[in-house]
Amino acid sequence: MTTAAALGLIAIVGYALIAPAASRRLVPSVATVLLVVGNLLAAASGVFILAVLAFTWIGQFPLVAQQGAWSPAALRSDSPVPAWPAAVSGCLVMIALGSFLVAGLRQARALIAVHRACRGLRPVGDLVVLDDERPDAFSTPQPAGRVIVTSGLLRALDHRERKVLLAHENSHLAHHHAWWNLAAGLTAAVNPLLRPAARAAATAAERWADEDAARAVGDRRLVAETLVRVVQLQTHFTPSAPAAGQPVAGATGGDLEARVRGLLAPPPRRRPVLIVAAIAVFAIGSLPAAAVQHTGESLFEHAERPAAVHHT
Amino acid sequence: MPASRSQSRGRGDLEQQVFAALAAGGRAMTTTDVRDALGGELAYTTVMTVLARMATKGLATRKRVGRSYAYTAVVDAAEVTAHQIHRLLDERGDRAAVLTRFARGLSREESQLLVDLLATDERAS
Repeated sequence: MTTAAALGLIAIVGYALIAPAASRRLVPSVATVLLVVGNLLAAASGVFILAVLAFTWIGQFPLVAQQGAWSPAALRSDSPVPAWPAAVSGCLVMIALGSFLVAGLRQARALIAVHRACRGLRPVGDLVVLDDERPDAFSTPQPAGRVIVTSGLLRALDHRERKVLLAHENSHLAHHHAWWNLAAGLTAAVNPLLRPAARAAATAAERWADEDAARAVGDRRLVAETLVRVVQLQTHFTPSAPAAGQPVAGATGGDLEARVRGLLAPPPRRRPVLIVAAIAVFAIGSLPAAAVQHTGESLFEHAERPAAVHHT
Repeated sequence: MPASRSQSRGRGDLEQQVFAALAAGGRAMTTTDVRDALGGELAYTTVMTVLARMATKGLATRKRVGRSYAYTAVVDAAEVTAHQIHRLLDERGDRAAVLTRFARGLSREESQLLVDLLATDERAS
């Protein structure tokens, strides 16, 4: 059991280290989906493994054992997990769940705030132009998602750049990118090791929208140029631009350098072999968690009290 | 079904582009002005139809200029909204995660790095 648990935790750390770089070799749409699914699996199996470890210790408390059908003494002598790692696991699970709840609540509050703010707006298609000098463009989550662009930004762009901007933002709406980002952000809240992968997912979603925009205007370089122009406008509009080292996901536009490089490179090719490999890695990576579950179950079964007092 | 959906999507896109051009102009524009602002690729009658529909929906106001109309975009001057949304954008971390932003301002050095990237690529090709 300890071996399986250790393997499971190593698999999660390995995923957290490798996924961000590996995802850059995939088509952005595939990368987004695989990163979010991978993060969800990694976050869930991490919490699960730690919870089972913790329970081998919690189960030894007479009060808890009374509820179950096992004897605390038998469990103590059988359990391969020493008390202190189990106790640490328990603390980590509590912290992860607490952090998940806090992040979830804050995001829910933010969603409501955005929804309220947009209620009074009158969209053209899904587009809302805000009368504002600050150059900015973003989209809000579906359903009732909106593309919001300031008049300041529209004035600064020519018609081809405006087309790029609208195509990019409409792609976010069409593919529900805000929700993929939210899911990735929550996994990073549960497990801080997954932060780089969550950031990679946000960048992949931006790359996805960039590629859609490139297809819409038929010019990859134009998309890169528009992107750099908007960055320049924003940088010069706010002299105190945010410092380097932005937080997870967030409305940051992803890793801008990666996006510009991606657009200047030839269009990404589909790599079915890599996708199959990634799915195989996910499946193998989930095995230790399954093994932990299995051995954990048999541990408690073995410690079961002979008398069939339970089940009443 | 997919065909009709993509058709309506296409019309929505056209409407967005026309509206964006009109809003970017920030002044009263005739159909020809708007057509030019869109790069002159669209037929005059197409632009005219879209503008007329916008005026009917109250998305643009129009006044007669000679024999045609000049249109002005009705832009949301919702200051409260702008303030609320910008506050969300300014907040770091998970609160801002609900919005997907096109780009963000960088430090001057980082921003210059992107310009250099474009320039190197141009020289290479």
